[in-house]
Amino acid sequence: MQTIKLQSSDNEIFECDLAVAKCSATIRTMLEDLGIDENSEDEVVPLPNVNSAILRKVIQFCTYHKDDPVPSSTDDDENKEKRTDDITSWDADFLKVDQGTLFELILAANYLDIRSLLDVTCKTVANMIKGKTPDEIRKTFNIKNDFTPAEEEQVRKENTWCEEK
Amino acid sequence: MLNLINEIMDIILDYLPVQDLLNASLVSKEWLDYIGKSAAFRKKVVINSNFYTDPVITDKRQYKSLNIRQHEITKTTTKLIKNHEWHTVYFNVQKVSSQKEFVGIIEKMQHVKNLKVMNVAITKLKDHKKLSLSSLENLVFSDVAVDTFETFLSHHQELKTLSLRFITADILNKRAVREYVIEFLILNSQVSQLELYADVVNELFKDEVTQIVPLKLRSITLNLCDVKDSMIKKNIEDFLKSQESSLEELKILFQQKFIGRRKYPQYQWFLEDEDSGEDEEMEDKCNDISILFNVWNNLSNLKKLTLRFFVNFVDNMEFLLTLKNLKPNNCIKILNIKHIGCTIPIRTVDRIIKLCPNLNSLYISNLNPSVINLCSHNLKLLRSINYSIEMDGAINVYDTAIKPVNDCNKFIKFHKEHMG
Repeated sequence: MQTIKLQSSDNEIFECDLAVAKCSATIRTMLEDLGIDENSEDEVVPLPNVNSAILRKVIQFCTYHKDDPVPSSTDDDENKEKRTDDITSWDADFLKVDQGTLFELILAANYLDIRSLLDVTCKTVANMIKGKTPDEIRKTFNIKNDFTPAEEEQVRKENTWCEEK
Repeated sequence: MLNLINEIMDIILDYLPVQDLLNASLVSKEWLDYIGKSAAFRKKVVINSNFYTDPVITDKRQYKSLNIRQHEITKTTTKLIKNHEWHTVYFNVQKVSSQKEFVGIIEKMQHVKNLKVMNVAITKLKDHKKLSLSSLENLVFSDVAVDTFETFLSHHQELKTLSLRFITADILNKRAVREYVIEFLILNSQVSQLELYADVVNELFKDEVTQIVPLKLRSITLNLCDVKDSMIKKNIEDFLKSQESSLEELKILFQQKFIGRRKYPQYQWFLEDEDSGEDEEMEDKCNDISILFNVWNNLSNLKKLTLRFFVNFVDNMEFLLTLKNLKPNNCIKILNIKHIGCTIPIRTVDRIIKLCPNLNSLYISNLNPSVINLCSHNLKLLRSINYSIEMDGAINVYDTAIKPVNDCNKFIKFHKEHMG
């Protein structure tokens, strides 16, 4: 089994399966385009935007999902109502983390270009908003209501004109 | 949370239905501002100006879609249209005083890309004022008088899609239908996607069209009803043949004749003399699939074929047996078969499927065991099969009679597991 070394922003080195690392389109591109030799034992891929705690989680996710088929997308998918209730139980357990970690995972998934991780983390955040009242959302994300009652009423009134397209 | 970069926020917001976007807008001023300008909000939310009152909206949000369903245009509506950059407008106003007023209001939508005009009745006609919308990409006319369409008879440089359905009353003004549609298509020969409803089809193809209209269509939708004139049929076929090099998508949708004298005597005044005495058999003549087979060998670039059979469609074995020189079409990848108010014409569908050896996606409304059996013939490449209603026994037949190891099999099995 071929392995590769990844270096986190806090200089920790992770040795992982090459197939796992290649779940990241960013790493794939680095290896293919920048000519980093996959066979070189000393070569380390630096990931300055991901700290060790998050990189550990990302590697755990990619190891579990490395054999997943690549989903195909069509034009029809674009217009479909996007589902958020299809998160597998393994992913849901994996994402039982504090909000800070969840947002860091989203940023890492975006930087490393791991579509499946980005989708599932964004769905998880969407589920924290879905079906909630404004007050419940404020509590979830610890946000202060800075509307005056009149301003809030104006937005509520305007909302009544809005419909699903 | 809003510290996440825009691209990520857009992905998250895209998962939310409109009601949740609206609730989230009430969280704080920052959220109101952010969500109101987001791609998800612009894509999903439409402002609905209804018959009773005009909406009062602020400029905090970037609304892009507007539905106007009103009796007549008010000052507030005019202001609303003028003050925002609308990209998608559904315009359904029952009473417009003149063509001039109509043109005046539509001209204010200079950024509109998608425009659907419905039910507009213009009281004072013949101002002969014309519209030109420089951003217009998709134009839909639904149940509109042909005089309203007249105001659009100019070049719209970005126009790609045109859909036309005029009100039935315009069978009184049939000549104008053909004249205006031809003029419009000559002025806008860049249109690549065309949808025509039956009344328009029957008028447009009454005489030869192919040599007059210089189109290169990528997609055409023909709603066919009561095509009993052999000249109309021939003109439709000639037109389809002329599109061979560009046509990638063909939809033939049979539709029912809407008004019949026997059933609706109160509408007798709509009908011209030439229709008299033929209403009793009108439904039987709604479905004539021969147009498809007559042009079959000229659909060499077609990728997607959709057929919708309507009431009273039955397999015509005699006709199917006469079809000998049809070549398999290797290009067609997607086939959609819909049938409304009739049982699936199994022999016709069988014939079509056999003529499409490289299908990889099949949609059949109301799947049944016979369909599954016939689908098994040559669908080795099939990647997806979809259906709306599953009838008893369909899966058993599939399991025992076919068992090819392909994704079609997996799909059916998946549904079996998930549907118990």
